[in-house]
Amino acid sequence: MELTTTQEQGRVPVTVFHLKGELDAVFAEQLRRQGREAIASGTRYLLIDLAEVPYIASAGLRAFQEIFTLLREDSKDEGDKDVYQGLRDGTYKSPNLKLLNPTRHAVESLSAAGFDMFLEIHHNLRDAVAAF
Amino acid sequence: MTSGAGIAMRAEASLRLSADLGNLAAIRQFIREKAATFQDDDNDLEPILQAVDESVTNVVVHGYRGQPGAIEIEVRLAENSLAIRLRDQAPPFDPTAVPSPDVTSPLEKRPVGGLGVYLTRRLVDEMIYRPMPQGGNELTLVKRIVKPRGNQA
Repeated sequence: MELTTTQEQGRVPVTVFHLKGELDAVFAEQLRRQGREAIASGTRYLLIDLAEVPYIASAGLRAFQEIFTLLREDSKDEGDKDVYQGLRDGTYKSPNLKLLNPTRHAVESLSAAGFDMFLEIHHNLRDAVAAF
Repeated sequence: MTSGAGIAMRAEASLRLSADLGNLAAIRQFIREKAATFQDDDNDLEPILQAVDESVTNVVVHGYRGQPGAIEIEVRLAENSLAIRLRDQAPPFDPTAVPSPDVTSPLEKRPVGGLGVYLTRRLVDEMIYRPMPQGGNELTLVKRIVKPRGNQA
Protein backbone atom coordinates (compact mmCIF):
# COMPACT_ATOMS: atom_id res chain seq x y z
CA MET A 1 0.00 0.00 0.00
CA GLU A 2 1.22 3.41 -0.86
CA LEU A 3 -0.16 6.93 -0.59
CA THR A 4 1.58 9.80 -2.40
CA THR A 5 0.42 13.40 -2.50
CA THR A 6 0.59 15.98 -5.28
CA GLN A 7 -0.77 19.50 -5.56
CA GLU A 8 -2.79 20.83 -8.49
CA GLN A 9 -3.97 24.36 -9.15
CA GLY A 10 -7.40 24.91 -10.70
CA ARG A 11 -9.88 27.57 -9.66
CA VAL A 12 -8.75 26.57 -6.17
CA PRO A 13 -5.70 24.64 -4.89
CA VAL A 14 -6.43 20.90 -4.92
CA THR A 15 -4.55 18.25 -2.96
CA VAL A 16 -4.44 14.90 -4.76
CA PHE A 17 -3.99 11.62 -2.85
CA HIS A 18 -2.75 8.86 -5.16
CA LEU A 19 -3.54 5.50 -3.58
CA LYS A 20 -1.96 2.20 -4.57
CA GLY A 21 -3.11 -1.15 -3.17
CA GLU A 22 -6.23 -2.75 -1.72
CA LEU A 23 -8.00 -0.19 0.46
CA ASP A 24 -8.36 -2.52 3.46
CA ALA A 25 -8.55 -1.67 7.18
CA VAL A 26 -4.80 -1.03 7.45
CA PHE A 27 -4.58 1.20 4.38
CA ALA A 28 -7.81 2.94 5.44
CA GLU A 29 -6.19 3.93 8.74
CA GLN A 30 -3.26 5.46 6.84
CA LEU A 31 -5.72 7.32 4.59
CA ARG A 32 -7.63 8.67 7.61
CA ARG A 33 -4.41 9.79 9.27
CA GLN A 34 -3.04 11.51 6.17
CA GLY A 35 -6.45 13.01 5.47
CA ARG A 36 -6.62 14.51 8.97
CA GLU A 37 -3.06 15.81 8.64
CA ALA A 38 -3.72 17.39 5.24
CA ILE A 39 -6.88 19.10 6.48
CA ALA A 40 -5.08 20.32 9.61
CA SER A 41 -2.39 21.75 7.32
CA GLY A 42 -4.93 23.71 5.31
CA THR A 43 -6.25 21.41 2.58
CA ARG A 44 -9.83 22.34 1.71
CA TYR A 45 -10.18 20.52 -1.62
CA LEU A 46 -9.14 16.90 -1.88
CA LEU A 47 -9.14 14.57 -4.88
CA ILE A 48 -8.57 10.86 -4.25
CA ASP A 49 -7.01 8.99 -7.16
CA LEU A 50 -8.20 5.36 -7.13
CA ALA A 51 -6.70 4.15 -10.42
CA GLU A 52 -4.48 1.63 -8.62
CA VAL A 53 -6.91 0.49 -5.95
CA PRO A 54 -8.28 -2.99 -6.83
CA TYR A 55 -11.15 -2.63 -4.35
CA ILE A 56 -12.42 -0.49 -1.48
CA ALA A 57 -13.34 -2.36 1.70
CA SER A 58 -15.88 -0.93 4.13
CA ALA A 59 -13.03 0.49 6.25
CA GLY A 60 -11.95 2.51 3.21
CA LEU A 61 -15.48 3.81 2.73
CA ARG A 62 -15.54 4.87 6.38
CA ALA A 63 -12.26 6.73 5.82
CA PHE A 64 -13.94 8.63 2.96
CA GLN A 65 -16.86 9.34 5.30
CA GLU A 66 -14.56 10.78 7.97
CA ILE A 67 -12.63 12.94 5.49
CA PHE A 68 -15.89 14.13 3.89
CA THR A 69 -17.22 15.15 7.30
CA LEU A 70 -14.01 16.95 8.33
CA LEU A 71 -13.95 18.89 5.06
CA ARG A 72 -17.62 19.81 5.45
CA GLU A 73 -17.06 21.03 9.00
CA ASP A 74 -14.32 23.27 7.64
CA SER A 75 -16.45 24.61 4.81
CA LYS A 76 -18.22 27.87 5.61
CA ASP A 77 -20.27 28.10 2.43
CA GLU A 78 -22.65 25.19 3.00
CA GLY A 79 -25.65 25.24 5.31
CA ASP A 80 -26.75 21.92 6.79
CA LYS A 81 -30.34 22.52 5.73
CA ASP A 82 -29.41 23.01 2.07
CA VAL A 83 -27.08 20.00 2.12
CA TYR A 84 -29.68 17.66 3.60
CA GLN A 85 -32.29 18.89 1.15
CA GLY A 86 -29.82 18.26 -1.70
CA LEU A 87 -29.09 14.80 -0.35
CA ARG A 88 -32.79 13.99 -0.20
CA ASP A 89 -33.26 15.30 -3.75
CA GLY A 90 -30.21 13.46 -5.01
CA THR A 91 -28.69 16.71 -6.23
CA TYR A 92 -25.92 17.21 -3.64
CA LYS A 93 -22.28 16.44 -4.46
CA SER A 94 -19.45 17.31 -2.11
CA PRO A 95 -17.65 20.47 -3.29
CA ASN A 96 -14.60 19.50 -1.20
CA LEU A 97 -14.01 15.80 -1.85
CA LYS A 98 -14.01 14.08 -5.24
CA LEU A 99 -12.79 10.79 -6.67
CA LEU A 100 -10.66 10.05 -9.72
CA ASN A 101 -10.56 6.91 -11.88
CA PRO A 102 -11.97 4.24 -9.56
CA THR A 103 -11.51 0.67 -10.79
CA ARG A 104 -14.54 -1.51 -11.58
CA HIS A 105 -14.67 -3.14 -8.14
CA ALA A 106 -14.05 0.17 -6.38
CA VAL A 107 -17.08 1.60 -8.20
CA GLU A 108 -19.13 -1.39 -7.08
CA SER A 109 -18.35 -0.68 -3.40
CA LEU A 110 -19.04 3.04 -3.80
CA SER A 111 -22.31 2.35 -5.54
CA ALA A 112 -23.45 -0.44 -3.18
CA ALA A 113 -22.90 1.85 -0.18
CA GLY A 114 -24.51 4.85 -1.90
CA PHE A 115 -21.32 6.91 -1.75
CA ASP A 116 -21.53 7.73 -5.46
CA MET A 117 -24.60 9.79 -4.58
CA PHE A 118 -22.45 12.33 -2.70
CA LEU A 119 -19.01 12.01 -4.25
CA GLU A 120 -18.38 13.01 -7.85
CA ILE A 121 -16.40 10.51 -9.89
CA HIS A 122 -14.09 11.86 -12.61
CA HIS A 123 -12.07 10.07 -15.23
CA ASN A 124 -9.28 12.49 -15.97
CA LEU A 125 -7.21 14.67 -13.71
CA ARG A 126 -7.71 17.96 -15.55
CA ASP A 127 -11.51 17.70 -15.49
CA ALA A 128 -11.46 16.61 -11.86
CA VAL A 129 -9.34 19.59 -10.75
CA ALA A 130 -11.48 21.98 -12.81
CA ALA A 131 -14.61 20.63 -11.11
CA PHE A 132 -13.64 22.04 -7.69
CA MET B 1 -11.92 -35.93 -2.23
CA THR B 2 -15.25 -35.11 -0.60
CA SER B 3 -15.87 -32.47 2.02
CA GLY B 4 -18.08 -32.89 5.03
CA ALA B 5 -20.84 -31.07 3.16
CA GLY B 6 -20.69 -33.66 0.36
CA ILE B 7 -19.08 -31.31 -2.18
CA ALA B 8 -16.59 -32.99 -4.53
CA MET B 9 -13.32 -31.18 -3.81
CA ARG B 10 -10.49 -30.74 -6.28
CA ALA B 11 -7.95 -29.14 -3.95
CA GLU B 12 -7.57 -27.41 -0.65
CA ALA B 13 -4.91 -25.66 1.41
CA SER B 14 -4.96 -23.94 4.76
CA LEU B 15 -3.06 -21.32 6.70
CA ARG B 16 -3.20 -20.44 10.40
CA LEU B 17 -2.20 -16.95 11.51
CA SER B 18 -2.63 -14.64 14.44
CA ALA B 19 -5.80 -12.57 14.03
CA ASP B 20 -4.15 -9.26 13.29
CA LEU B 21 -5.04 -6.63 10.70
CA GLY B 22 -1.35 -6.60 9.78
CA ASN B 23 -1.88 -10.10 8.33
CA LEU B 24 -4.53 -9.05 5.80
CA ALA B 25 -1.94 -8.70 3.03
CA ALA B 26 -0.46 -12.13 3.82
CA ILE B 27 -3.92 -13.70 3.71
CA ARG B 28 -4.60 -12.14 0.30
CA GLN B 29 -1.25 -13.39 -0.95
CA PHE B 30 -1.98 -16.92 0.29
CA ILE B 31 -5.39 -17.01 -1.40
CA ARG B 32 -3.99 -15.59 -4.65
CA GLU B 33 -1.22 -18.19 -4.74
CA LYS B 34 -3.49 -21.13 -4.00
CA ALA B 35 -6.26 -19.98 -6.33
CA ALA B 36 -3.73 -19.55 -9.14
CA THR B 37 -2.58 -23.11 -8.56
CA PHE B 38 -6.10 -24.47 -8.42
CA GLN B 39 -7.92 -22.64 -11.18
CA ASP B 40 -7.66 -20.67 -14.40
CA ASP B 41 -6.20 -17.21 -14.11
CA ASP B 42 -9.10 -15.54 -15.86
CA ASN B 43 -11.31 -15.79 -12.81
CA ASP B 44 -11.72 -12.50 -11.04
CA LEU B 45 -10.49 -12.94 -7.48
CA GLU B 46 -11.04 -9.40 -6.22
CA PRO B 47 -14.62 -9.90 -4.95
CA ILE B 48 -13.76 -12.91 -2.78
CA LEU B 49 -10.53 -11.25 -1.61
CA GLN B 50 -12.53 -8.23 -0.48
CA ALA B 51 -15.09 -10.50 1.18
CA VAL B 52 -12.26 -12.20 3.11
CA ASP B 53 -10.82 -8.80 4.06
CA GLU B 54 -14.18 -7.71 5.44
CA SER B 55 -14.72 -10.96 7.33
CA VAL B 56 -11.23 -11.19 8.85
CA THR B 57 -11.42 -7.52 9.87
CA ASN B 58 -14.71 -8.26 11.65
CA VAL B 59 -13.11 -11.19 13.49
CA VAL B 60 -10.14 -9.06 14.61
CA VAL B 61 -12.09 -5.94 15.55
CA HIS B 62 -15.44 -7.27 16.76
CA GLY B 63 -14.65 -10.93 17.52
CA TYR B 64 -11.36 -10.86 19.39
CA ARG B 65 -11.74 -7.12 20.19
CA GLY B 66 -8.01 -6.55 20.03
CA GLN B 67 -7.18 -9.56 22.20
CA PRO B 68 -4.73 -12.16 20.86
CA GLY B 69 -6.28 -15.01 18.90
CA ALA B 70 -5.84 -17.19 15.85
CA ILE B 71 -7.61 -17.40 12.54
CA GLU B 72 -7.46 -20.28 10.09
CA ILE B 73 -7.98 -19.70 6.40
CA GLU B 74 -8.76 -22.62 4.16
CA VAL B 75 -8.93 -22.30 0.38
CA ARG B 76 -11.01 -25.00 -1.27
CA LEU B 77 -11.74 -25.58 -4.91
CA ALA B 78 -14.82 -27.59 -5.80
CA GLU B 79 -16.17 -28.49 -9.24
CA ASN B 80 -17.46 -25.04 -10.00
CA SER B 81 -16.71 -22.87 -6.99
CA LEU B 82 -13.95 -21.39 -4.91
CA ALA B 83 -14.65 -21.46 -1.18
CA ILE B 84 -12.75 -19.73 1.59
CA ARG B 85 -13.43 -21.08 5.07
CA LEU B 86 -12.49 -18.92 8.04
CA ARG B 87 -12.33 -20.35 11.53
CA ASP B 88 -11.69 -18.46 14.75
CA GLN B 89 -12.04 -18.96 18.50
CA ALA B 90 -13.74 -15.65 19.21
CA PRO B 91 -17.12 -15.52 21.00
CA PRO B 92 -19.97 -16.79 18.80
CA PHE B 93 -21.09 -14.26 16.22
CA ASP B 94 -23.24 -14.92 13.16
CA PRO B 95 -22.51 -12.30 10.48
CA THR B 96 -25.28 -13.68 8.27
CA ALA B 97 -27.77 -12.42 10.88
CA VAL B 98 -26.53 -8.81 10.76
CA PRO B 99 -29.22 -6.50 9.30
CA SER B 100 -28.30 -4.42 6.26
CA PRO B 101 -27.49 -0.76 6.97
CA ASP B 102 -29.45 2.13 5.50
CA VAL B 103 -27.20 3.15 2.62
CA THR B 104 -29.48 6.00 1.55
CA SER B 105 -29.13 8.22 4.64
CA PRO B 106 -26.71 11.20 4.58
CA LEU B 107 -23.06 10.20 4.96
CA GLU B 108 -22.62 12.09 8.20
CA LYS B 109 -25.62 10.39 9.81
CA ARG B 110 -24.79 6.81 8.96
CA PRO B 111 -24.06 4.24 11.63
CA VAL B 112 -20.56 2.81 11.53
CA GLY B 113 -21.41 -0.90 11.71
CA GLY B 114 -22.88 -3.37 9.28
CA LEU B 115 -21.35 -2.06 6.07
CA GLY B 116 -18.69 -4.79 5.80
CA VAL B 117 -21.21 -7.61 6.14
CA TYR B 118 -23.52 -5.86 3.69
CA LEU B 119 -20.73 -5.64 1.08
CA THR B 120 -19.66 -9.24 1.76
CA ARG B 121 -23.17 -10.49 0.98
CA ARG B 122 -23.02 -8.72 -2.37
CA LEU B 123 -19.51 -9.95 -3.20
CA VAL B 124 -19.99 -13.71 -2.85
CA ASP B 125 -22.58 -16.22 -4.02
CA GLU B 126 -22.91 -17.92 -0.64
CA MET B 127 -22.08 -16.99 2.93
CA ILE B 128 -22.48 -19.89 5.35
CA TYR B 129 -22.05 -19.57 9.11
CA ARG B 130 -21.92 -22.24 11.76
CA PRO B 131 -20.84 -22.04 15.39
CA MET B 132 -18.06 -24.56 16.05
CA PRO B 133 -19.05 -27.40 18.40
CA GLN B 134 -15.96 -26.79 20.55
CA GLY B 135 -16.49 -23.00 20.54
CA GLY B 136 -15.60 -20.36 18.01
CA ASN B 137 -16.96 -19.59 14.57
CA GLU B 138 -16.76 -20.93 11.05
CA LEU B 139 -17.67 -18.75 8.09
CA THR B 140 -17.53 -20.08 4.54
CA LEU B 141 -17.52 -17.68 1.60
CA VAL B 142 -18.29 -19.25 -1.75
CA LYS B 143 -17.77 -17.76 -5.19
CA ARG B 144 -18.78 -19.62 -8.31
CA ILE B 145 -16.01 -19.86 -10.86
CA VAL B 146 -16.11 -20.10 -14.60
CA LYS B 147 -14.03 -23.14 -15.50
CA PRO B 148 -11.72 -24.96 -13.11
CA ARG B 149 -8.39 -26.14 -14.40
CA GLY B 150 -7.83 -29.95 -14.51
CA ASN B 151 -7.33 -31.95 -11.34
CA GLN B 152 -3.91 -30.76 -10.26
CA ALA B 153 -3.59 -29.32 -6.76
